[in-house]
Amino acid sequence: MENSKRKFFKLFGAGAVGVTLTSLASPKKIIANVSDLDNKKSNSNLEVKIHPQSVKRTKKG
Amino acid sequence: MKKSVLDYGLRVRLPITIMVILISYAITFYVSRSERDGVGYKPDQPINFSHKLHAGEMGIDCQYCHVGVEKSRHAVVPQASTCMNCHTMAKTDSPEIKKLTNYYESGEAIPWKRVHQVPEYAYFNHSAHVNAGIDCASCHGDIASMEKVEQVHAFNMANCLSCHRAPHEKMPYLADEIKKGPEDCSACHR
Amino acid sequence: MNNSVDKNKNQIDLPVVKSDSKPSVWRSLDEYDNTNSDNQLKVKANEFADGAENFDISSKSKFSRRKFMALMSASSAMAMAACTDYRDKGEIVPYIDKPEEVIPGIPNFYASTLISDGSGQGVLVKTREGRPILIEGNPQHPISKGKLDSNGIARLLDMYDPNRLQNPRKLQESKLVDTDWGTVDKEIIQSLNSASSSGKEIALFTGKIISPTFAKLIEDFKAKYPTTKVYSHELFNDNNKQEAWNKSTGGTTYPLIHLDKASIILSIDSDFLGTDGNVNENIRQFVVNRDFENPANFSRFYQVEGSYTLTGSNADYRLRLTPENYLDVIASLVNHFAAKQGKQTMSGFKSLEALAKENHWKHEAVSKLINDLESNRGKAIVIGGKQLSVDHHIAINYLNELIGANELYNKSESDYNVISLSNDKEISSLASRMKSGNVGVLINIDKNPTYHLPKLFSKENLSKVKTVVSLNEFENETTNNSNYVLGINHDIESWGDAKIRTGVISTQQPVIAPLYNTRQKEAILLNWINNVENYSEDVYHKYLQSNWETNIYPSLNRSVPFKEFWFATLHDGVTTFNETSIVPTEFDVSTVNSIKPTKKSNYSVILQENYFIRDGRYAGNGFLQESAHPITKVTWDNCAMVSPATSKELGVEIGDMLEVTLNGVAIELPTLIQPGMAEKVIAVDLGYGRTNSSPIGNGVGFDVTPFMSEKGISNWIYTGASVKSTGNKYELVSTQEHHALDDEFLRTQVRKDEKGNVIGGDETFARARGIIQESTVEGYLKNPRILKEHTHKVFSITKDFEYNNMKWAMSIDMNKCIGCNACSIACYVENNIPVVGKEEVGYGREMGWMRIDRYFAGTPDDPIMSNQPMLCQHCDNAPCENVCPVVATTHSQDGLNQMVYNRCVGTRYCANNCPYKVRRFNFYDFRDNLANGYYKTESTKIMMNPEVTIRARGVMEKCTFCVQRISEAKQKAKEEGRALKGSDVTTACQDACPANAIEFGNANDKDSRLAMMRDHNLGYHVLDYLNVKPNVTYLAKLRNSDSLGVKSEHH
Repeated sequence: MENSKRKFFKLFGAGAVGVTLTSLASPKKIIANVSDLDNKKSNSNLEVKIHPQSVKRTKKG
Repeated sequence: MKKSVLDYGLRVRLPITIMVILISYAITFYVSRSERDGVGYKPDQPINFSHKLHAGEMGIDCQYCHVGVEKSRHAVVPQASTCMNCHTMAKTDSPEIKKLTNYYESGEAIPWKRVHQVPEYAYFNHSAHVNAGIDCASCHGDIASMEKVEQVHAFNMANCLSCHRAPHEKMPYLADEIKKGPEDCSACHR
Repeated sequence: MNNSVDKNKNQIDLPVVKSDSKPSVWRSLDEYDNTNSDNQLKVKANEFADGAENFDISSKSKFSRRKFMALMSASSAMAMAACTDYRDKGEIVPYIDKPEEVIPGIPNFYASTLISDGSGQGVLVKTREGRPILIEGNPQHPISKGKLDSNGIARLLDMYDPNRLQNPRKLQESKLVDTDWGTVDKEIIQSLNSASSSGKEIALFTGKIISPTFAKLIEDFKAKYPTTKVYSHELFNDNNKQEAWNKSTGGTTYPLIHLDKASIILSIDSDFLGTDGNVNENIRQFVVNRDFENPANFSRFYQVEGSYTLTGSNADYRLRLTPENYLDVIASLVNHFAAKQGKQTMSGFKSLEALAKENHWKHEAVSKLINDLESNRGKAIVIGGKQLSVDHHIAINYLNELIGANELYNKSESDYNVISLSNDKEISSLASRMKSGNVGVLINIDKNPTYHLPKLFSKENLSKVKTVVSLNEFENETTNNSNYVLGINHDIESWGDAKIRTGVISTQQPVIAPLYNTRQKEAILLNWINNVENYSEDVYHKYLQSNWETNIYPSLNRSVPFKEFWFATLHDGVTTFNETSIVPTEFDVSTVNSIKPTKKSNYSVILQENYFIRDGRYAGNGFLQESAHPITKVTWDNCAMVSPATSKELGVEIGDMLEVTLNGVAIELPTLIQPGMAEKVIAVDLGYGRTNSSPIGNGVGFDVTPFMSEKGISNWIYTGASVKSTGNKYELVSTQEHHALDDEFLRTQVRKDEKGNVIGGDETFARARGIIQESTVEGYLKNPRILKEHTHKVFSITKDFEYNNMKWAMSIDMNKCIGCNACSIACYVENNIPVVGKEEVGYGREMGWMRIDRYFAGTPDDPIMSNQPMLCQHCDNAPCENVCPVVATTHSQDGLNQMVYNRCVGTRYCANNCPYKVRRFNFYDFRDNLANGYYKTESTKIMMNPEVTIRARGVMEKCTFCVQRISEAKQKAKEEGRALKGSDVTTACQDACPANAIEFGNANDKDSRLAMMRDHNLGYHVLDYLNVKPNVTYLAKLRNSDSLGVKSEHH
C-alpha cells in the first residue's frame, strides 16, 4: 500500500479508536459532567440530616 | 503524467475532507443517541409499578404523588411513604407490594430506573411549565395508559424549541392562554 | 540459492582462503581437511548469507501482525460501545420518608446567629434538601439589618472544610489518635475532679463570651468545680477604650454613636468601616449622609492615620500621621476648644499647624477641620481606634465633651458585655501559675492561645499543666500541645443565643445535624457537669430552652405562652425588648492631667487586623485567603507596608525582605510600597504565619505575634523599631499589577491658564479615560451637570435591538461603596467559584467574577484612593459575543449576556475582546489543581449551589447577573400568576453589600430606583465611548473636599 494512504488510515483509525475509548471511559453524561459524581458511591460517609427541632422561615424577608 | 495541484486536491485533499466530515458526523450522531433516540426506552423497574392502574383506572391525579411539581424545578419520583399512605392496607399480599414494604421497613431507598432525563447542562423547570397550564402528557406521553413507563418524545433541544416556538400548534388545548416560550439560551443553559 | 548475490552491495567480499597447509586450530573436520563447500565458506565469511537478505515484504501474506492488532483492538472497541444500553440514564432515587420541610428544588431559610467569632451577627442560612449552601444576613436583626460581613459569608466553607476535626482525639505516646466520647468524657471528668479536690486551678480559656446561656453554664461549671476561673481573650479588643471610658466617666461601657446623625466625623486611626466595632451598622449609618440625592447634607469625614486603612480610603480628608503624633492632634484640638470654654488644657504637645506642615497635609485641611468642629456643635464626633492606648481614648473623650458630641451618643441602647474580656494582667498571671504547676486543667474553648500569646502559652508552659483540653473545629498550634483535642460543631450545627446589645437577644439554631462525630462546645462542658451517661444530642438545647423559660422569658412580658414565644423567636432569629441603659457621660477632667506626649523613636510598627483573616482563625479558609486586601490588593500573604519615601530610604522595592527589629525581636517581612502612608511607619497584619492550620493556611504569610508586648504605646502600636533591608527577595502576589501601564505615556496634557498656572489636566489614564469619574460636593452643587459637560454622544451605525419588556441592568453608587469586598465573597459562594491558590493568582488567573479595582490619584506620597467594583457589564453591543466561533455567548432578549458553558470550546477570544477584562477562564480544574485536590472532596461537593453549573476545565465563565435567581423569580411570578418586576430579583452582591450600594432591576421600569440612577446626572458608564453600551451604571463619587487630589493642586 502506498505510504500516504497508510498514514491516512493510521491517523484516522487511531483517532476513531481514541474518541470511542474516551467516550466510554467517561461517565454517561459525556459532555457536561465534571466533578465525578459517582451516583452510587457519593455521600457514603456524609449524612445530611435536618435537625427536627429547628424552625424554618415561612418566608425569607 | 504530470501531477497538478488539482490532481493532488482531488486525489488526496477531497477524500480526506469528506472522510473527516463523515467521521465527525458519525461520532456526534452516536454520542448524542441517548438524548435523541431515548424514544422507546422502557426499562424494567425494581418494583413493577403500573401507572395504567393507578393513574388510568383509579384516576389518581399526577400531582397527588408527584408533589411539588407546581412549586419547584423538579418533579421528583414520590417518596415511599406516599405509596404507604394506601399500601399499608391495600393489597398487602401482592408480591410487588411486599417488595415495596420491604424497602420501606428497611429504610433502603428504592432505586428506580430513570426514564426521562434532560442533560445536566440544561436546567429544566417543571413549575414554570405546569403553571403555564401544560398537561403532563404533552411531554411525557399518555402515562395513564402505560404499564411500564416509556419515553415517548425525544428530549433534545430541537424538540423543546419546537414547542417553545409554536405553542399554539403543539398544545391546542391551551389556545390563547399560552405565549411563546423563551428562546434565549439562559432560559435553560445557565 | 540464486545468483542475485553479487548485485547485493551488503555482501562483503572476503578472500576465500584455500591453502594446502593444515591449520593448527580448527573447528570442524571439513575445515581441517579444507573440504568446505563454496556455500559453506560464504556462510562462514558473512553472517548474513544469501538467503537471509532476500526478504521481500510484498511477497509475504497481506495480513501482518501489525494489522491484526490494529483490527482486533478497533473491533473490540466498537463492540464495547455497542454493549451497554446507550439509553441507560442511571437510577433516580427518592426519599423513603421525606422530611416535610423539604421540597426538592425549593430552598429553606433558617434564622441563626454566628457566635464563635464573638460577633453575634444575625444570619439567615439557606439550605437545599437539608444542605446549607449560603449564609447571609438576617433582615429581621435590628443591628445588622440583613447584612453579613465577609468572614460570616465565607464561614460556610469552614463547615465543609476537609480538615475539620471529625472525632475527639487524645494524646497517646506523643501522637493524637482518634477515640470515642465516652473515653474522653470519663478521663476529663476524672482530671477535673482531681484538680478541684487538690485545689489546683481549672482554667477556662475562651474568646469573647456573648451568650447569656453559656455564661450561666459557666456559673454552673464553677459551682461543680469550685477552682474554676474564666479567662476570655481576643487578640483584637477594645479593652483600652472601655477602660478609658470607665476612668473618664465611671461607666462600664462606652456609648454607641449615632453615626447617621453626624455631619463631621474625625477618626483617629479608627477603622470603623473595616474592623472596628459593629462594622455593618457603622457602614449603614455612615452612608446615610453620603446620599447623592441629598448633596447639601453631605457629611465630611477626616481620618488621621499612619497606615492606609479601608476607612481612610473613604475619607474626604485623609491626614497621614505617624502614630506617636496622634495625641498631639487630639491635644491640639482640645486646647483650641478648652481655651475658648475656659477649661483645662493639655500642655507639651505639638500644634496641628506644625503637624500639617511636617506631613504636607492639604493646606486647607486644618482650618477646615477646626471650622467644621466649631460650626457643627452637636453633629460632630471624634472616634478613636480600638487599638489606641487608654490615654488616647481619655483625651478623645475629653475632646468629644468639648465639641458637644454628647448629643450623638446613643442614649437608649448600648453595647452589652455578657462577660468582660480579661485584661492582660490576668492572662499573664494565669501563665505564671501554669508555669509553676498550679493549674491542673486548662480547657481551651475554641481559641488558639499558643499562636496568639506564644510566650505565655508556649509548649513548655503548657506541658506544666497536667491536662490540657482543646475544644476546636480545626487543629491549630494549641491542639499540638494538648492532651485532648475534641472536635466541636460549627455555628450552623449548634444551639445558642447571643446578646451584644441592650434590648436585643438573638438565637442560634442548627440547620443541619452535625456532619461528623463532633459535639457542641457548650454541650461538652454541660456533660462534664452532669452525668456522663445521660448525654444526648439534645442536652444543650434543653438547657438553653430552660434558661430562656426561667431567666429570660419572664422579664419580657410577652402575651403568648413560652412555647409559642420560643418557636417564634427561633423563627425570627431575634427578639427585641425594652431595656434601658444609662451610659454616664459626665467627664472627669482630672483624668487628663497625667497624659504626656509620646516620643517617636526610629520606626513605628502598627500591627493591624486583617479584614479577612482577622486574628488568624480564617487562615485555612480559601475564599478569604484569596480575597485581595482592599488597600494593598495582596492575596495569600501579609507584608510590611511602607511609604514610598521610606522605601527609597531603605533602598527596597516590592518583594524585598526587610528585617524589622522591635524590642529585641527580629522578624523578616516582605516589603510592599503603599502610597499614602506616613514616613517611617511599618504596618503589618497579624494572623498570618500559621504553622498548623490546613494545607491552605500553612506557611501563608509571616507571624508577627512575637512583636506583641507591654512595651508599646498599646498592644498594637509600637515605636522604636529598627529596620534594614536584608537583600533577600519574596514573591508577593497582588491582583493589581504593581508595574502598571506606563502612566507617563498616558497622562493627559497639563492645562494652564493665561498666567501659566496649572489649572488641570495631567491626569492618569483612569481619570483621563473616564474610568473613574468623581466630583467634589461643592462642584456638583454648583453645577449638577458637571460630569455631563465634557461627554459627547456616541452613535452607532447599525440598528440597535429594542428591549421592550424586561431589561436587566445594575447600578452601583460609588458614594456608598466602601470597598469592603463583601460582594466579591458573596459571589464566590453563590456561584461555586473555585479557589485557585497563590501561584495561579500570580498568573492573573483568580476566578472571582466580581472584583474591586483600586485607583490612586495625586502623588505617591499622599494620594486619594478610588474603588470600583468591576463585573460583567452585560453590554448591549458586547464585543465578546461577536467573536465566539461556536456561539457560546449570546445576548438574551431581556438584556443579559449569556454564557452557555456546554458550547464553549475554550478559544478565549471573548476574554481577549472584553475591554473590562471580566471574563475568567478555567485554565485548570482549579479544585483539582489546588493543594492536591483539597477542595475536591465529598464534603466540599455538598456545599455547591445546585442551581449554578460547576464549570469544567477549558470553559469560560463570568458574571451572569445571578441568572439562577432571575429564573427562580420568573418561576415564582408565574406560580403566583403575576408579572415579573425588577425588584423581585436581588443579586448575591446586592444582598451582601452592607451599604446597599448596588441596585439591580428593570431599566425599562421608569418608576424604579434603578432607572432613576441610570438616568442620573452623576451616572456614567466605564469606557462607554467604545460603544459597547454597558448596562452597569456607576454613580460618581462626590468628595466633600476642596479638591480631587489631582497632582496640580498640591502646594
